[in-house]
Amino acid sequence: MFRGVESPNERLQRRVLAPLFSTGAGYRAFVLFLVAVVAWGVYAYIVQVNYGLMATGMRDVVMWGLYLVNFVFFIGISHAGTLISGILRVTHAGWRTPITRMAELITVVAISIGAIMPIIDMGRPDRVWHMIAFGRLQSPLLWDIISITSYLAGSLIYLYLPTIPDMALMRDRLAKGTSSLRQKIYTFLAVGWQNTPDQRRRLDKAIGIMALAIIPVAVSVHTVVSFVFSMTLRPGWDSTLFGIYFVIGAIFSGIATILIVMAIFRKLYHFEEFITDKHFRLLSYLLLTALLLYLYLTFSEYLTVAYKLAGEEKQLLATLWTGSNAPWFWLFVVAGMVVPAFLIIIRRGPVIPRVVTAAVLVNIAMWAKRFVVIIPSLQVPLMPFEFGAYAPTWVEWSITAAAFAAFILIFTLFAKVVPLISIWEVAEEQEKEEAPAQETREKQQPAMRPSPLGRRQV
Amino acid sequence: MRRGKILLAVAVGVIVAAIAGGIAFAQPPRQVPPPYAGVKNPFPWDDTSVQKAGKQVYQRACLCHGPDGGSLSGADFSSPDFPLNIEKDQDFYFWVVSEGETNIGMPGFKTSLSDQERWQVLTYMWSLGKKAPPTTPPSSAPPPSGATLYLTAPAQDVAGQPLTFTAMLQNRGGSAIDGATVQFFVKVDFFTTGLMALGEAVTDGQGIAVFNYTPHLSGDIEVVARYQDVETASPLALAAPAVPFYQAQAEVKLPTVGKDIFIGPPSALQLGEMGNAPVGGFRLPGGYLSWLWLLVIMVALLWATYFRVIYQVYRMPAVNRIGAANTRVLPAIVLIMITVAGLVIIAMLFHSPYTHFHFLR
Repeated sequence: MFRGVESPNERLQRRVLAPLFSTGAGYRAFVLFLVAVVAWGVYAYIVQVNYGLMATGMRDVVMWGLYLVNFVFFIGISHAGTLISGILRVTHAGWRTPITRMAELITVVAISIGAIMPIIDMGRPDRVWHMIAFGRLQSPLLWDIISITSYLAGSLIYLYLPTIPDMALMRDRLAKGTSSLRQKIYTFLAVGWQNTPDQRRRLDKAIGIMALAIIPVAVSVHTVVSFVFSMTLRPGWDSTLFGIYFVIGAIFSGIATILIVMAIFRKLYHFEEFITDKHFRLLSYLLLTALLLYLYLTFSEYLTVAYKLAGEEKQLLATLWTGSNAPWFWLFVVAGMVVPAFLIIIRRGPVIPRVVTAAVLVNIAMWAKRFVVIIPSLQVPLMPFEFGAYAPTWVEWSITAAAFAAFILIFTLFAKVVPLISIWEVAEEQEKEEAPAQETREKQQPAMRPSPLGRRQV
Repeated sequence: MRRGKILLAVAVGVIVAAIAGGIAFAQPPRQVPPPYAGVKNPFPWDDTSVQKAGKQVYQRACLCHGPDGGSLSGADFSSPDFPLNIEKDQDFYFWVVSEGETNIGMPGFKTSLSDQERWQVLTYMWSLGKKAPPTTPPSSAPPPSGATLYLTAPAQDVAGQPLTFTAMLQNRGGSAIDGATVQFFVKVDFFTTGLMALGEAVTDGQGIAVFNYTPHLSGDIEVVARYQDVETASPLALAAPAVPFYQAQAEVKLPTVGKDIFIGPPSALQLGEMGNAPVGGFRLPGGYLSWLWLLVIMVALLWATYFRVIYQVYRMPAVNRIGAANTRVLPAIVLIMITVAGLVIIAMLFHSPYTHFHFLR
């Protein structure tokens, strides 16, 4: 296909852009399957709207169920983007460049799915506008609306900004006249990017501001999500630790999610060259750091409660440790804390399978952990009767499956529109690394200019 | 005259209540529905190990009835004839424990207790009546004090307003009793009708005890004053207030600089029809130097940052047009969306129905 020597930048463009222009049967079948799952979830939701929340396992005592578990889980993994691209960009960690785009994409898709969950949880979703019309500032739910809206807007902007040069690349690669709609979209999204010094200056400035601004917003979001629980006097929720506990938990599951997504697309899109063992290794250290912080917070949270055993907390701990919720709790401890820690610390065998196993376990365990936080606290009676019972119905399981399918579906569709690796940032980083050795060649071939070779190839 | 009437009213009330309560529980309706009709206790009633297991369930789930089972007069497990009743109508009692009688506040336990646990707890309840001590002979009660208690309380008022109850205490001869403690109650309905203690006051030289109380709920209640064995009641009709009085009991009063600023229709200060939420208005609690500004500034700064970032994108096109497309359209739309969303969110901070935090009154 290529004659002569292919420069690293050309190879990068070819590899990253290839999936955007060729769609296989497997891809179509997978999308069809995901659409079917989402459609089944929509059917379940129609059943729920018709019959009311009686179609779910939620009742007056345990009034929150899987929907809120999913809500906290998805908002949690949305912290992936903030951590990887916000914090690593601010600290100039060069190795971040091939994975920032995926991290930012996870953020946007996860918040969108997460933000829908409380509306699905409502028996009267038509009243959601009451939150805007009659919302009262003393309600943590209003705090949620304000901070999640701000976070969604901010992370959309933060996802979009670094795609501009890549959009321009796509615009230039598509021959004029062919596939006109697609080209129009890329032209609009590229906002006339020509890689002029003035444009570079403006883009660097914009990205720099957003990288800083998005970090406090992300922290505020998960703090406010935790306030929905910790602003009550319920056993298990009545804790001052909850803000930071949720934030660390979010970062923890966020890193795990990036690892999984990285591994999948590395395999499917043949990104082996750009996403290497090094990225998995470095991210696994971050995962371990988050794990240890989370372990520490979990330990202090349960020790302080168990030592005092105030009020109903004895019943809560009994149901968590030895009672009906014990399987969930110990699943969290073993699969989320113990096994991943050993998988990362004991460095035997190839790094990627080891770290990805840990990441999958962490995500399963963190979903279970959100269940453990929300449901048992509601089961402990505040009046001296009736332990609450909760068993999710098929409606809730269907909508939960649809939520995960929708997450993967949106991600899959995005992956056909947006290059999953930030080409210009990786090229820039390559340039920086190779600059001392091959100064002349790289200078002659500025990374940002779409090469005429590439245009012919498509 | 008045005292006689009150006594008569109380007596009639007590009798009616007793009859009603008796009918409600002592005479179980015969039509126990199918899954429960005719079921029998799988355990022997006098099996102490079953009773012991039932006791643990009882202490977890049945505390409304009190540790000895006699707290609720409508369902008194401590009475000596209860074991006979429960043996005779065991399917009825099992039905009530399973399904509850939610209209009188009894929850059902079929989801939280297994069949076995429910029979264990019934077996334990059977033993409560067996354990009941023989009724104490009247001679052991303290001799009647012979005092007379007069209660003066407003017949009607508005909930949320402070009220004053005055009780006057006289001895048999008609002279005032000094330094005696009078207890004050209101009769409330909460699962069952009962007296809720408000507090007590000590009589002065004229035998007068004054008690101040601010009721928080509207409705027809009864104020009761009690001195030893003497009790006097006075009905009190409490109307709902025109202005809702949301007040936290444990509030922190912060110093405020100015008066609340409110912009909106007067109806925003009242509950809507049928107790619906009031319409919204714009409020600045604490006046121009309100704490709310801190939040507003933070949110405004954030959205202004978004605006600034997208403005950089808006300025990016070196030439305005590439081909036929105006490439400034997208950032311009986004700038408008950011402005609108930011303003709406800021408006949400100011705008709400009547209350903000309880800091101000």
